[in-house]
Amino acid sequence: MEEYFQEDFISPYGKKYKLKLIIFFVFLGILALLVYFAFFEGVFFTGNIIAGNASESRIKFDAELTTIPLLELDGEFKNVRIKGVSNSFFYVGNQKFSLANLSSNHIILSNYNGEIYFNENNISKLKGKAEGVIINGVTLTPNLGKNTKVYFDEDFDYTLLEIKETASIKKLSYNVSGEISLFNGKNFFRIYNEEIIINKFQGDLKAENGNFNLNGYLEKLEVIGESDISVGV
Amino acid sequence: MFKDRIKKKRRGPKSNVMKVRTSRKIYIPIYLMIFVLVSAVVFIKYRGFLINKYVLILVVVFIVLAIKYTEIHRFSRWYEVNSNSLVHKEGILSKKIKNLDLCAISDIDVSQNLWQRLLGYGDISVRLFSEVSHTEIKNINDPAKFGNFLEKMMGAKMSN
Repeated sequence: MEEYFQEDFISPYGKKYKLKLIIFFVFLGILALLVYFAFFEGVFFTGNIIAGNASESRIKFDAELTTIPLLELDGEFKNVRIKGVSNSFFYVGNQKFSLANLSSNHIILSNYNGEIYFNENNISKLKGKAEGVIINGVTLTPNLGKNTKVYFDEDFDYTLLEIKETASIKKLSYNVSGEISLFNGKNFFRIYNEEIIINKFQGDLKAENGNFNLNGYLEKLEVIGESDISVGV
Repeated sequence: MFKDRIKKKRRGPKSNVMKVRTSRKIYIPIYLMIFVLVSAVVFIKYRGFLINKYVLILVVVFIVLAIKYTEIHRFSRWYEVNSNSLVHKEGILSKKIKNLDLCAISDIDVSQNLWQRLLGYGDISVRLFSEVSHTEIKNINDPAKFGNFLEKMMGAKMSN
């Protein structure tokens, strides 16, 4: 029987199989790293919670800004304080509280886990679970179990929204004026209608009467405009 | 007149040389990997998530090396049929050249598996009278056309 064998010179493909496998596994590794660092490294899948110690290798950041951005937060917040008026109802577990009768309502949520969507005028969405609820000075916690469902049924016009300690913003970019202080006041500057880009902020957040204050730590700050500032770790 | 010019250009002068390289279609899996990585980066950026800079560097390095590898692989070898011989050249900096006299070729086999048929490329196996080995021309576009041309040139040489 005639025997044929392939010449290596003309067809150098036989030994390529292992190389192809290596290339494929390298590709899978890079893809896995890409997904891991984007979605899981210190961040839950929603992308709004930054785990770990906030002050660790981050920049101390304080800002008093004159415009409240449209923000959609999702995660765990230790303390949320809301003041405002609304014709809506506030639901706590199976109880329903009218917010229309008072000139100003004061709601405090402790260990709240859920969503808070707001713009400069109202809270368009507050839906989640809280361990403690105080409405206009009345503590509801003793009657409730842990992780009671709380939500507004309509937009809530707020005058104050304060999130203490654990407000986390993955990325925020908008045009604004105001004062910014970095590294515990070592760098201070004012911006006038410039684009500010905040990456991975964690700290206190306060939106009150059109002003927006941030006090915490961030990974990267960029101001695009006259100031042209870029600070990152 | 313009049409005439196009026709002439398409017909071209009757050439006695055909030169082919490896088809780019064999690199489709690598191009797919590049596409997936680029799409993942765009998706992550678009959704506002941060991309780790070292991973981004890895992605860029992978894409550059993948393109370089495919292009170098493709450009480093080509096959040519001329009026005298079938020539195989390999290498960019150092070169190997093998000439097979057309009169020494006994058979030509064209083979395409299903995937190759769908994408229009395939292999040609060239056997020689004098050797028990065969020579493979792998993964070229339109292998039947190349085989026909090779047979035509063999016939022309033998009739001379």
